[in-house]
Amino acid sequence: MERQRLTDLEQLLLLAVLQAGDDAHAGAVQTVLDERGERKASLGSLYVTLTRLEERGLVRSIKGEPTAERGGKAKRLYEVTREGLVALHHSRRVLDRMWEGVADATAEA
Amino acid sequence: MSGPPLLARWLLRALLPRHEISDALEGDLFQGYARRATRSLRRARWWYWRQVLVQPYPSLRRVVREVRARETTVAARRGRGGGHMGGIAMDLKVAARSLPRRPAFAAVAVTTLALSIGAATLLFSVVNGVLLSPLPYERPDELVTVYRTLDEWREGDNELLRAAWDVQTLPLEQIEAWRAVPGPIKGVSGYTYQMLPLQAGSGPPETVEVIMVDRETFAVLGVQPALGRLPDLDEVRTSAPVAVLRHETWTRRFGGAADVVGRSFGLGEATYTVIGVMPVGFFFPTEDGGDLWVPAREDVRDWPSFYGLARLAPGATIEEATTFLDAVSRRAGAADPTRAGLGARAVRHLDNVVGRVKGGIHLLFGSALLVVLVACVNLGNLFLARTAGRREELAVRTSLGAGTGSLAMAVLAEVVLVGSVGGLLGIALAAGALGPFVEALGAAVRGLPRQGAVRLDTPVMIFSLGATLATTLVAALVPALGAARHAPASALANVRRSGTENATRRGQQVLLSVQGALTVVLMAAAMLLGRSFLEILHVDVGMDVHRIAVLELHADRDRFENRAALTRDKEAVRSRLHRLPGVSSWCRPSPSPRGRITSPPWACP
Repeated sequence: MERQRLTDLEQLLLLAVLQAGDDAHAGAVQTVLDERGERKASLGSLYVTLTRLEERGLVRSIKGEPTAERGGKAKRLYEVTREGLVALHHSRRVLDRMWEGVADATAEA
Repeated sequence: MSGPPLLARWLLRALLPRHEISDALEGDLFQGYARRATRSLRRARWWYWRQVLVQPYPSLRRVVREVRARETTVAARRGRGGGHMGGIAMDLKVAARSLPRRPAFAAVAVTTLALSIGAATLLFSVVNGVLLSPLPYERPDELVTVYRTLDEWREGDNELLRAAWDVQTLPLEQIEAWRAVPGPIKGVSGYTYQMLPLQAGSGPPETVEVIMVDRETFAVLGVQPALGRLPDLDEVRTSAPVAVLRHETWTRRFGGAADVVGRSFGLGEATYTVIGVMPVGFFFPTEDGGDLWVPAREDVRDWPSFYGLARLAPGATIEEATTFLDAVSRRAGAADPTRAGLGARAVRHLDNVVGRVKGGIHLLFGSALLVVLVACVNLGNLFLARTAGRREELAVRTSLGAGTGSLAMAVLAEVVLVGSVGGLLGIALAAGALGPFVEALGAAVRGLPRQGAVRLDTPVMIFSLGATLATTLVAALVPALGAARHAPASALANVRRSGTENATRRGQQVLLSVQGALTVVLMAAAMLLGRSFLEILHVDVGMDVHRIAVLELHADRDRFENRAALTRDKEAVRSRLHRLPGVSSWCRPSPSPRGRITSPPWACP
């Protein structure tokens, strides 16, 4: 299977979905992304990116039940697929390879 | 707790495309607002407004469009395992969801079709009712109306007489003469009519059209009454005062009473007894279709005012009948010089009924077809433009593996949906407008025959549904073929740069030209139709009808103890009329001068 390349935002998004766990809806993903990823993104752009990732088979989504605390609207819950995990690990290995030997020379001041 | 600011929520909904993704986003925002509102309501509102304003709406809309296209294609592929139906159903579902999102387009398309189908249905219902639906008689194709012909009139100098030489009425003795000789006709009879005041119960008198029949008149027509019986041979021979009512007369003047048979009523100066009621829809080819039928009165039997009515023998043609009837008349003429120059002519009974308006009715049918044709072109044009707007979605479908068939189906689904809604709406419109339309037409075209037969029956429904189907299919053809020809790569590349492909634009130009041309043709046809109706309205009645007023007297018999009193009253009317400043002369013809002139001119006393 051909490994899929991920952009910076896509990597952060997949990781945020993993971090959000069982309740990985866009609102929760946005919070994780904001607090841990230092990345502010509108909910709309998250949905656009998540939908693209879903088209590529890297995440899948299911529709939750509508609840009163959401104004009667259902959640869309996301989950990273096996292909998504493979792509994430690959991106990490690429980054690690790139950092090898560079880390010492550019040690943080 | 109150929800997010209403205006912001409304704005959000207006900007978001309708989809589950948008619902989820709205829910996320609601939840975020609720969490913040527990801390500070003002901040929560501020946050919500900011969120509504920063969403990337164009990207969301694009994504939603692509998701929809993918869902359709996947579902169509899945559906293909069990035949095409799943895919078609899904295409229809998608069309049902996507059309309301283009309300202007949907409204224009549906209205165009509804108006066209409605108009075509109305026009065709008249054509069908007047011309195509069978007459309410047994085997109506065998029925012929027989006229007397006058050689003297044909050869004379008087233009009016020449025009009427072959539509003359005849006396009953002529019918007896035909009846005595075997020939290519199975039965021959006659009828005439007269306007007489009818007085039933306590209601006001009303002038009705009384059809006077000879023996065999009903037998030649092959009809039976719905209630009671028809006059028997003895009653006809002795001109017994018995009457058979038309269905409408029965309901209007006798309240549709079940025990009407045996009741008496006044007719002219005599008292008649009801012996039967004819079925619904039964009428005679006279001005008003006949209000009731009575045996021909003794005093009118010798009048040359009867219309001949004959039934062709099986296999006989109208020409054979004319030859036979004419020969019998002329043989009598050879023996008796007073009857020289008298011939006969048979015409199809339906032609006699609709004769005068036949041309107009044909034009009406042509107009109905033209309206449908223009609807085809209009709708085709609308859908071509719509398909150009859907290129992006179609390109995505193609790139996801949709074949030419499924692309065409996607376009077809919308057309079918518009067709169904528009067609049904059109038929409903026609059903609502039929009554007033027939009334208006009846007022414009005096003596339009068989108005009662104009209704939305099965043949009209078949025409309307057929016209809808044809319009829909023709309208779908060009855009569906265009959609099937899409090249995916170039389509996607060009989508945002050029809204309309050259081929589509060419197609639209062609359709626009056709539309223009057809509109001109339709308008010309409509004007011709109007002109033809005007001609019928202003048909030369053979006399100067301007400045002539007709006064119909309905005498209430209870107010006049005897005939002498009535005559006195008529004389009083006469002398008063003479004194009226605007009246130069007057006469008292009977029957009143309406309808076609077939008898010699009236003499004024």
